[in-house]
Amino acid sequence: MTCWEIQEHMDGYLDHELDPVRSFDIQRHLDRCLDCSRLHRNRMEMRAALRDDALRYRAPDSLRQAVAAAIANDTAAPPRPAIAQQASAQPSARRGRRWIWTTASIAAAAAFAVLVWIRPSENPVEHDVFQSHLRSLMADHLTDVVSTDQHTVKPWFAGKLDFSPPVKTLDAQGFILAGGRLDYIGGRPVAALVYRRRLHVINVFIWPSGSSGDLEKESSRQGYNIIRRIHGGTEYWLISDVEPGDLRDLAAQLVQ
Amino acid sequence: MPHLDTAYNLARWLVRGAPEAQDIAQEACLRAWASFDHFRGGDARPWLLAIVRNTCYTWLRKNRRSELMDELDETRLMAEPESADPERLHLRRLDAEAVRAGLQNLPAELREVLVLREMEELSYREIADVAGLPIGTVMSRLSRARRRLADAMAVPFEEPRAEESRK
Repeated sequence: MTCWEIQEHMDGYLDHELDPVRSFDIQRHLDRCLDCSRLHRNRMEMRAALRDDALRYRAPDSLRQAVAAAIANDTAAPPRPAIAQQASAQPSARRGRRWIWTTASIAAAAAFAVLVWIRPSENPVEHDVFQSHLRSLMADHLTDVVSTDQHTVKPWFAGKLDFSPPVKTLDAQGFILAGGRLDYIGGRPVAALVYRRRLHVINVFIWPSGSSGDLEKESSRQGYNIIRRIHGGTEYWLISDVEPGDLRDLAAQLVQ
Repeated sequence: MPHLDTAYNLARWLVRGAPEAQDIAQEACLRAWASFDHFRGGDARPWLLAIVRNTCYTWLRKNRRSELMDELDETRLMAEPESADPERLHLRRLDAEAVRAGLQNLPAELREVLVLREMEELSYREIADVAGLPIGTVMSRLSRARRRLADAMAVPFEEPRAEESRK
């Protein structure tokens, strides 16, 4: 690639929006071209400066209180949009909610508050699962024990964990066991099983659950689907970029 | 309450005045609340940002029309000559106040993509959704925005940097 081409693609490179091959070419070029690497360094410095916390504006307390109060009351009158009259395109939903001030609408307000006030990432376990999945994909540390055989993987965990994780071979269902490794989630050692489905990698984290009930919860984060499943006193977290339906299938197979 | 900060931050960067940003962020949150039934799940942040962004533009069109680009401005902007060769330029020390001023002086459309990309760390796809733009436009605006900001921050390579000459 010529310098001109490199500079044309510099933004895509910085923003991780290029395909890996092109990205690799640019990286190699930057290693030996002074001009292009200076441009790259300048752009990186600018990025760091723009991401500096000093540039971020924080919502004043008065705004926090005003929004919280408005939602709590879901005020009697339809909102007076000071900014744009035509703005309230959903007056009916609001009016409906105003009249039916029921448990359901309180629940909706709570759900809204959670969505707007709290980042999904504030579930620390989900955060760990997500980070661990990314790490396993990037750092070439997917598996400690490489085997497609449950009778090799399961004993490998013995002595490394204070529980024995269920390990299943699910080739027939289209989930190829690739191996296992030891990982840390929420400050405790857990079993991580790795399955492949076509070209996708699925990490399954397993540890004994604190609760005896059943639970199934789905979420997604930056393009990765996550399923949390508690069954039979065991907690399972599945994460992958496969379709949610595939992930659900695997969860069902694992707890069977 | 990070999402409220997110909403306020974008509003503040787009309309620039603190009282206006507060009104807009508040209205956007209430509008988000009113249309919450239509929220399809997933990450609430881009969804909220799109509402904030639209509220800002409604306000800008009404009160600061001249600050927004029309199609002709956009064509002209994209046709601007490229900045000098990168090797001849040298970024000035990037203290927050200088960057803040540089960013404030960009046209709203360029400021917006930089705020969404760098401060909110959205992907091109997410920015395209939030701003209702084709991905190609997001890319060209972002590239233009970075060049403009670099130009504003740059000093010719030959000149000694102010802080160095003082030493």
